[in-house]
Parts: sequence; C-alpha cells; structure tokens
Amino acid sequence: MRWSIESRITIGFVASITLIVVIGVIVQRNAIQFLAITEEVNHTLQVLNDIEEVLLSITTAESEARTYFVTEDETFVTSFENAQASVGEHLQSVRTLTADNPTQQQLLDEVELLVNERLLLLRQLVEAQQRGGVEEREQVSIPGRGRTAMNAVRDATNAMKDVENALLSDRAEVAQLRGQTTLLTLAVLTLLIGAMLLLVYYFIRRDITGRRRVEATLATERNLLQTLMDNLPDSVYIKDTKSRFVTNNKSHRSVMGAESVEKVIGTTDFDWFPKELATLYFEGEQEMLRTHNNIITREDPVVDAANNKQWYLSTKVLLRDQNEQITGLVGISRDITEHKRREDEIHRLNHELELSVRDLLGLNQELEAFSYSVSHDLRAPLRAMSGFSRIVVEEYAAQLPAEAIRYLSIVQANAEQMGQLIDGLLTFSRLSRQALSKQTVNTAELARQVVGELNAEQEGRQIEIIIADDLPPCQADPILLRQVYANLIGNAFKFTKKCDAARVEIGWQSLENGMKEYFVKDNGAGFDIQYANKLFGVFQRLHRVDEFEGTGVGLAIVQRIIHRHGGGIRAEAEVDKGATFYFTVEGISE
Amino acid sequence: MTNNDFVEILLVEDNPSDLELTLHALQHQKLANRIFVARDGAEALDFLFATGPHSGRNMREGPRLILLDLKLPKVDGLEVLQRLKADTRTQAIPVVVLTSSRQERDVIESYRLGVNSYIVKPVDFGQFTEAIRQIGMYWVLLNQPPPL
Repeated sequence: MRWSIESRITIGFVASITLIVVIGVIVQRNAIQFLAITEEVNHTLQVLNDIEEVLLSITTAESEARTYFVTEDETFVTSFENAQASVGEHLQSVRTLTADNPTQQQLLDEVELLVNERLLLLRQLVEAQQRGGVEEREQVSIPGRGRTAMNAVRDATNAMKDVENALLSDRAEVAQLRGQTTLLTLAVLTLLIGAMLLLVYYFIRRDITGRRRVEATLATERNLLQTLMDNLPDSVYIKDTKSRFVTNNKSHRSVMGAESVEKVIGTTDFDWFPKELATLYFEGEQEMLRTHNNIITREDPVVDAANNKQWYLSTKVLLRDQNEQITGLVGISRDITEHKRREDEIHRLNHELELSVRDLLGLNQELEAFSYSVSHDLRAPLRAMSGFSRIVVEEYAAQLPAEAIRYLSIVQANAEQMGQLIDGLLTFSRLSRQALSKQTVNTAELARQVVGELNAEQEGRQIEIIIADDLPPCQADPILLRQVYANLIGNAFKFTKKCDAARVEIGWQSLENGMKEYFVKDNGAGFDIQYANKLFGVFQRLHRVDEFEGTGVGLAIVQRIIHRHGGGIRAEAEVDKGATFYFTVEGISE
Repeated sequence: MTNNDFVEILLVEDNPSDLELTLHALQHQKLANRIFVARDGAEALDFLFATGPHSGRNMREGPRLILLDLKLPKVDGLEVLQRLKADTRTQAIPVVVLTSSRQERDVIESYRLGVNSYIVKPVDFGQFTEAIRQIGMYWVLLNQPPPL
C-alpha cells in the first residue's frame, strides 16, 4: 500500500512526538525513583551520622565527666548532663530512622543497652564525686570497666554502621543500574526520534523536489499554451461561469482594443463591445453553461475596436476541473468576414446568374419559336419560287426565250441553296438543345458506313480512301458522331474533286496526355491557315460558291458536336496541298 | 366510287402556293377532281364531322385520305388530328401530315396522336412532286382503306 506524502509526514511526526512523550515519562519516572533513592541514601547517612553523634556525645559525656573529676567544677556536670541528653536524642533519632529495619532495631536495642550502661557508669561516678568527692568516686570506680563498656558500644555501633553502609552500597548500586538503563533507553529513543525525523525530512525533501519538477513542467506547458494562444490568428479566450474573462490571446485583445491581458481579466464583453452584441454573447454563454450544450461553429456579428463590422465563427466549450465541476468556458473565434463577404458575393452572383439563366431560357424559347417559324414559314415561299419557276420551265418552255429559261433556272438554284441554308441553320440550332445519348461507338465501322454512303454520290469519281483498321472506339452520341464524319468526309470529297488522284485518309493518333485524336485528311484544295479562325463560324466560307458549293454550316455543326462531347477540334492545311481536321471526342477527364 | 359526291382526299392547306403546287402534283395522279380543300382547321373539322356549312354532308362519303398541314389558322393541324383520332367515326381514316416543319416535337406529337405518316415538304419542286406522287400512289391506289 502506498501512503500519501501527507500521511507519511503525519505518521513520522506523531511517532516522533510519541517517542518524546515516552522519553518524558521515563525521565520523570526515573527522576522520581532517583529522588527516592537519594532520600534513602540521605536517610542512611542520617542514621550513620546519628550513630556517630551518639558515639561523639558519649565521648563528650566521658570527657566532661573526666574534666569534672579533675576540676570538680559543677559546670562540667551540667555539660555532662547535656551530652547525656544529646545521646538520648540521637539514639531516639536513630530509632525513628530505622523503624522500618528490624535488624537495625535489634542492633539498636543492643547499642541502647550498652550506651545506657556506659552512661550509667559515668553517672554513678559523677554522683559519687558530688556526694563524697574524689575519694568516694575512686572507691566506686572500677578501673578498665569504662573502657570495656565503651568498646562494647563501639562494637555495637560499628555493627549498625556496617548494616547501614551495606544498605548505602546496595542503594548506590541500584541507583547506578537505574541510571545506566535510563541512559541506554534515552539513547535508543533519541536515535529512534532522529531516524524518524530523518525519514520525515527525506519524504518532505523528496516531495519538494517532485513538486518543483512538476512546477517546472507546468511552467513549460503554460509557456507553450501562451505562445500557442498568442500566435494563433484566431481569437481565444477563457471565461468563468459569470462570463468574466480569465484570460485571452493577442488576437482577441486586438479585436477588443485591449492593451494587455491584465486589463481584460475580470471584465466582461459588456466592457468591450456594444451592448446588444455583448448581450447576445452573454446569453448564449449562460445558456450553454445552463444546458451543458457546447456552442459549435456559431456565426456571430462582431464590432471591432476600429468600429468595423465583422463576422466571427465561434466555438465555445465548457471547462471542467478535476472534480468535473464546470469552471467556465473556452472560446475560439475565427474571423470569417471575408468568407462571409465572398459568400454574399456568391449569393449575389448566383442570383444574377439565375436571372441570366432565366433570360437565357426566355431567349432560348424565343429562338426555338423563331427557328420553328423559320423552318415552317421560310420554306413555303421558297417552295413556291422553286415550284412555279419549274412549272413555267416545264410547261411553257416552247414559248420562252432561252435567256428567260436560264434566269428561271437561276431562281430555282438560289431557292434550293436557300433551302439548304435554312436546313443547315436548323440543324445547327437543334444541336444545342438536343440531349446527348452517349454510348460506345465503333468508330471504324461508322466511318466505313459514311464513306459507303457518300461514295455512292460521287458518280464514278476515283478516290483513294484509307480507313485505319485500328480506329479505336469511343464514347459518343452515334448519330451526332456520324454527322461529324459525314461532314468531314463530305468536305474531303468535295474539296478533292479537282484533284487527279484524290486521296482521303481517316485515322487517329495518340496524344501526349493519352487521349486519342481522330483525323480526316485529304489532298484537296486546302486553305490558307491564316483564315483558320473563320473555319468553324456559321456561314463562314473560305471558298467561293462557284468554286465549291456549300452553305458554310457544316464545320460549325462539326465543332458544335465536338464541343458538346467535351472534345476539341483543330485543322492543319496548306493551299492546294490539302487539309487535315483533327478532333478528340472525350474530355480530358476521361 | 360511282358516287360523284364521293371525296377521295381531304387536303387541309392554308398556303395558296403550296395548295396549288400540291394540286398540280396530284393532277398527274388523276386524283385532283376528287379532292376537297379546307383552308383552315375549323373548316376541315366542319367538313369531317358534317357540321356548320357542311351539315348536310353524308359522313360516309369519304374522305379516304387526309393530307394535313400543321400550321393552320383558327384550329391548328395537331388539334385537328387529335379531334379526328379521338372520334370513332373518323379515327380509321389514314392521315398523312404534309408540312414544312421538321420540328422534332411536331413529329413526336403527331405520331403520339396516331398519324399514319409524316412527310416534310421538300423545297425542291422535283422532289416535292415526287413525294406527292408517292403519297397518292401508296395511300389511294396501293393501300387497302378501312371499309366505310
């Protein structure tokens, strides 16, 4: 089990304090015991002292008595009696002091007996001298008796002293042992406290080092975050639950017109933006804090410090602390004014485009009505011109001069030419409206069919025709592609009609971008390449009608078809050397 | 065919030139005298359903073929076609649209309404005459008409 640093430190301190208390208790107990032992020792010393005092007092009594014996001065009798009383006092004292010791009491009994005996002897001598002077005293006196009694006293007191000395020695030993044990215990406990404190110190030290490291990491991360925030082109801001700024980045401050983050902290949007905008932001944020629904990419109007109206795309997300409590929000706003402006521009352009399309559709309808009318109404008069002039020629030829017949045939030819022009024009305009129905077309087969049909109209002309066998198939509208080949091959036949050895080649080549380019090549009249830009225009012709008949619609039709397929067409030519028309059918995407 | 009032062909044509050219072409088929000409859609309908000025006409007296232009005054050709194909009395009569219009929607609409043939008038008179000749040949002489 891992304990937190706090509990480790607490445990360490509690243990140390407990140990200190234990030490205190031990010291106190030892002091009490020591005091008790000291008292006992004092007691013993007192006993010894009293015993000495008893001996001393007896000796004093002895010497006072002897002094009286010599001087016969009565004052020494008083001194003797005082010493005698002192002996009694000290004996009483010893009695009291050794009351708890039966051995000493027994010994004391003996000492008392011997002392009293000795004192009695002295008193008898003193009284004898007082009664009868020195002589009487000398009669009573038994030489050596006093010394014997005194020796007995000394022996008895010595026995007591020995007992007390033995006690003293015992107690000193106990006191020493106690002292040593206490010292050892104290040393061990002190070491323990030291170790405990060292451990606590280690933990605290380690914790502080760890904290310092974490702080350094935090500082680095805070730095990183700040750098990141301040260098973002987007506005970033953090607010508390009351929508007050906790911090924001440079971009946001420049929008607000705030000089430093310190001026921003604690303020709200109401301090920086017009009231209605601030209200809009505030209400949105408060609702988000209430409902816990983050604001994701909301478009907000903003008025910046320079009073410019702008649009911002804002995302605001709730911030939570370790305990999942909401502490506020972080917002990121991107300036989309330009984007918005472009969007508006696109809307405007789209609207214009729609109007244009509507115009175009209207125009297209008009054009359709127009071409319908052309188709129907322009033909009828032509038919009348052609028909009646022909009837005149057929039925009244005999009555007409040759010149008149020739004029009438010119009328007919022109009517016919105009009919063709009308047909070409209608085909051309129809091409724009017709839907393409693309499918895989066998181009080689198609070219062969077209050549077959056109060849039949050539009235025996000898034309060398080469169709590449490997002409690749393509995705196209078969009817329209047939029209392309019919027009191009038709042109090739037409413009080679003055050649002795007409040659038409239908082939293809691969382009660098992988696309297939088809071509129709002839060795006919060709044309001057500087007029190539006129080739594909409607009614544009590079030859006079009396050289080569035609309406000038054929290539315009070809180009329209190719463009509708997403392809391209180009021409290479030289006067009298022939022309080659290259085209692709599919767009680059394919 | 012994009845002199019998009409072989109803020609609906408003353009006098086209009318004359058509009649001119039909003369070669010896059919011109059995033709009734209506100059607009309304007259064509009156004739077909024996109404208005033609209320006395016997509907059993033809026509056996209708040549119908599309662009007509009053009632246009497509409406005439729609009306006569919708009526059981007239729906069996073969109708050939003979028009200048190559418009796809006219062609599609005509066939949808049940036209029997759709001919675009050629500008060239030779081709025009030939077209009329073939129409007459096919529909009047070759084709077995429905019984009246």
